[in-house]
Amino acid sequence: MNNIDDKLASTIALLRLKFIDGLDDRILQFEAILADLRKGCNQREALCDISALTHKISGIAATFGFPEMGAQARHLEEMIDNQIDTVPIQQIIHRVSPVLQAFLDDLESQI
Amino acid sequence: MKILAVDDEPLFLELLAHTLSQLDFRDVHFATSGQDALGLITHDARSFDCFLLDIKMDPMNGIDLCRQIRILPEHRHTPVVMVTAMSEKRYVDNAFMAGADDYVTKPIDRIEIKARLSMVQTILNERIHTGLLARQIAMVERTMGAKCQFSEPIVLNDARDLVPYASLENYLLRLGNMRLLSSAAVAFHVENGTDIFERASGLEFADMLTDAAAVVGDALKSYNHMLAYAGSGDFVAVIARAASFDQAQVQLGIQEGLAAFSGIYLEEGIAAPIIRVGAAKTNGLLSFGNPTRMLSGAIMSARAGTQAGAPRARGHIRVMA
Repeated sequence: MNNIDDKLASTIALLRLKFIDGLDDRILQFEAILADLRKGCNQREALCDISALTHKISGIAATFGFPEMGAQARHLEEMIDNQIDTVPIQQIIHRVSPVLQAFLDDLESQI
Repeated sequence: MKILAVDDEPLFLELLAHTLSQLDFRDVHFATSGQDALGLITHDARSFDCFLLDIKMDPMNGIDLCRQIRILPEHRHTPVVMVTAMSEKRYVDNAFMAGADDYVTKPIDRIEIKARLSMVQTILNERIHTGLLARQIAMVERTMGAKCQFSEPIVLNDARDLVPYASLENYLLRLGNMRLLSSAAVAFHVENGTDIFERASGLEFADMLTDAAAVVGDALKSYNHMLAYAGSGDFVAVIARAASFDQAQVQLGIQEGLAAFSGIYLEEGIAAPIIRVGAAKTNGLLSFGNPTRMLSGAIMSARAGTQAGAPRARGHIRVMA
């Protein structure tokens, strides 16, 4: 069992580096979506895209040693999913924007 | 066990690949979208034994992918485990109603995924057993020798929208006691099931159960439900407790549905099934026992409502010479 644990630990360590290396691209994806939001284009779609991106991060961040990042991502995802069909889009954007900005600042600090 | 894992996050698939490899699951294939997954499934000569599906993918999510997989005849009963961060009840319910057998939450835990895949292996072994029995019955339909228990929760291959009983039990066990409060179980007892079992062939009995499943499923169509065959002529459904279950209305729906089949049974010289609906049963607020007691409570209610009263003695299939 120790041998298995050691192998998995070294695999996770390698994948963790890949995850950190890939944070740049993820941040750029978020920024592109934010630009659409600011322009007022396809805002509902943009919010769904943010939800999808945060969902991906929430599924792996904790495994790679970033539990708080995973929790923040989950929180953002749920904020959007729980409101997207019931709350006016502008209101969601108003609520989500500061949380998303803080999340992106945290992502950048990990690079 | 040949596994197909589907997730649109490549790093997660890499992590899953290594985790499964460490657990000695080495025949694992991967897809990053529902469309790619369906391509692999339909073009691979050797069927998959298990699917691990993420729920939240775009454009086809894991629940829709599960539905598409269940349409394929060779995968009507292949175990599907949703691997997802979305553990809210509505997603879990939707997954099970689409045909999933279990779920595991992200971030993945090696011990949990090992437990889930061990459960899959158990389901596969059970299905091989019941599948073999079904094929044995078909092969020796006109010879002596094959026997099957009336109590066996056999897999009804032609019954659409029926989940395996083991999956229904697993769904309740995975829900936990608090989430169970929003669910209820209702059972449907084939009152003359034993008589039909003793007089008809194995295939005729299975066909009767398939007809019964269709009629019951239709009568429940206004309720969000999961329906399974529990053996001994009992079907059981899990429905949302919030829905006001109208027992009389459902009983009427079943009688009307069965009336449509009565001519066919008359021509074949086989007794048409008589189906009784039981009362909706729930787990109590302070109940911390086995959640599947709700299922047995519902079955007892349906049996108690029959004109025959207490369940009859169980018998064996006699294969017609």
